[in-house]
Amino acid sequence: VAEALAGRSLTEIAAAIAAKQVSALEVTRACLARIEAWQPRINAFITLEAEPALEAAARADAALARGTLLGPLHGVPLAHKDMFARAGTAASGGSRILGELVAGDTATVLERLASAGAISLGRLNMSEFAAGPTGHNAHWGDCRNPWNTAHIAGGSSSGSGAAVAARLVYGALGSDTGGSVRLPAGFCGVVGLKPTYGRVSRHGAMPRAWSLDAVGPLARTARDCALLTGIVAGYDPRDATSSRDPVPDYVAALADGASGLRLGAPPEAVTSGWSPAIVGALDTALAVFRDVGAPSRVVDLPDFTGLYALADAVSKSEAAAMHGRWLRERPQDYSVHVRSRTEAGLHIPAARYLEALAIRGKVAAGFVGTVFAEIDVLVLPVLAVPVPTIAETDVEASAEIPGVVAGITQLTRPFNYLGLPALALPVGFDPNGVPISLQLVARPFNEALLFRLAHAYQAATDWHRRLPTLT
Amino acid sequence: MTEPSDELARLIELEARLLQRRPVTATRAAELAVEVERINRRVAAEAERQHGFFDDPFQFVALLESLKDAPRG
Repeated sequence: VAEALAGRSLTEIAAAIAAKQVSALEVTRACLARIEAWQPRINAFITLEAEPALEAAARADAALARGTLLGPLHGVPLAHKDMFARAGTAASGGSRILGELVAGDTATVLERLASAGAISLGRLNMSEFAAGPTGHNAHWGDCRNPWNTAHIAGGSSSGSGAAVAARLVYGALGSDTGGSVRLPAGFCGVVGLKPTYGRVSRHGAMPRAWSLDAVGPLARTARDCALLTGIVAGYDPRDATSSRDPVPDYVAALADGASGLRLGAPPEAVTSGWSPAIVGALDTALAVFRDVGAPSRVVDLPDFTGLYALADAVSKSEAAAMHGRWLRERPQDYSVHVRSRTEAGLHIPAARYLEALAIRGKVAAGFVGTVFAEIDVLVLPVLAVPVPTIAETDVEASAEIPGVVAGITQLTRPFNYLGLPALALPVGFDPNGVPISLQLVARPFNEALLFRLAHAYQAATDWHRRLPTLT
Repeated sequence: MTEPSDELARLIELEARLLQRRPVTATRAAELAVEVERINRRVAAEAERQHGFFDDPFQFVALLESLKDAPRG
């Protein structure tokens, strides 16, 4: 029974709890049983909060017995990257330093999920200070991919990807500054959204680079991801970059299907350097998209290396500014990798940083005006090569490896600079047993199109129904 | 002639001493120099390519809102 409960989607389990077919307590216990089995293998949690979760589940059941449904997530167990503030507690940020700082109030996204009735099972693993795309963590232990534990889970929201994929929780929040939601979602085979810059409040979320950071959900299906996004998105006066653009009903929009959506695919000149397995999965997925009514055409893409450098200048400068004092006073409390990555930003001149920000609007308008002139959704892989192993990306071990790690964000980081919404969608498996995922990108504030396309794809395929097994 | 990255590496070492941070090895300073120089050169080139169109970065969300709707033809 516990396995059957944990195997359901967020949407299904929320409906079952609301209909009193199953109690929140039973569902929470089922998740805790899976966590007990999987945690030693994948290290998805930094802190498990079992007792508070069971108490919250009991309260949710009591409320429902009185006829009170708290919201669309009533009694549903979630857990989040350990970087969201909760009043009176300290989030580690995956670091040795932040755990000493107690938050004064609670992150807006956590308040909104709690208001919707969600239960929190604990705090999920992440890259130190959200500063790495692999899921290595020198302080809390590396997070591992549930499909093949020799491989990275992806980062920096590593625990979010691994926990959702292993069915330890029904959904999780992550943050994305250069790919940190899309990479772990993609590598672990779940759906993950980096929303448009300004769509979801960052109040109470640990910043990595405030001009690029986006908070987004990871979930088992596109429908689950749409549901979570609708709950956390929307204007927040406590985040100065928060947009007042109305939030559509993303779940209701799924009924519109994918028919009529115009897709853009990369030209052969770009794909020729990619792994054959990735290109094959892309072609197969494009055929499925066509069959559900969304044909594709090849579109010219600008050189991503320029966009990458612009994003890098902003990211490194802002991170260095935030970490400057700790870098000087507590360098020993950083891993070598994160200290080195962050330190680089101290040497980018202010003029370069400001240039990168000042031309951002023009670059973004130019990209949207040309790439999206005749398409609605751009389709790219999350990663153009097979997901590497933990050993292949151990930056503490070899001077050669930082370059390999930087290559992981080659296709994701540019969209943080451009501010565009991008969704990771699993579309198959590599011969190494690790998922292959695509990245669907749209014009600003067009998340609904991404959910519609991904949902139509999942209605026609079954990749999202496959579960990793303990071996 | 000294390569620019060597000069930058020396600046990085100098800064480390000025701020009394941990000692930076010459190897690490050189790695940082290569990385930083790549970023700086590329950003400068991109800024040059945009022919001096400079926006207020604080209006970026408003710009994204204006790009929401696709032209349909």
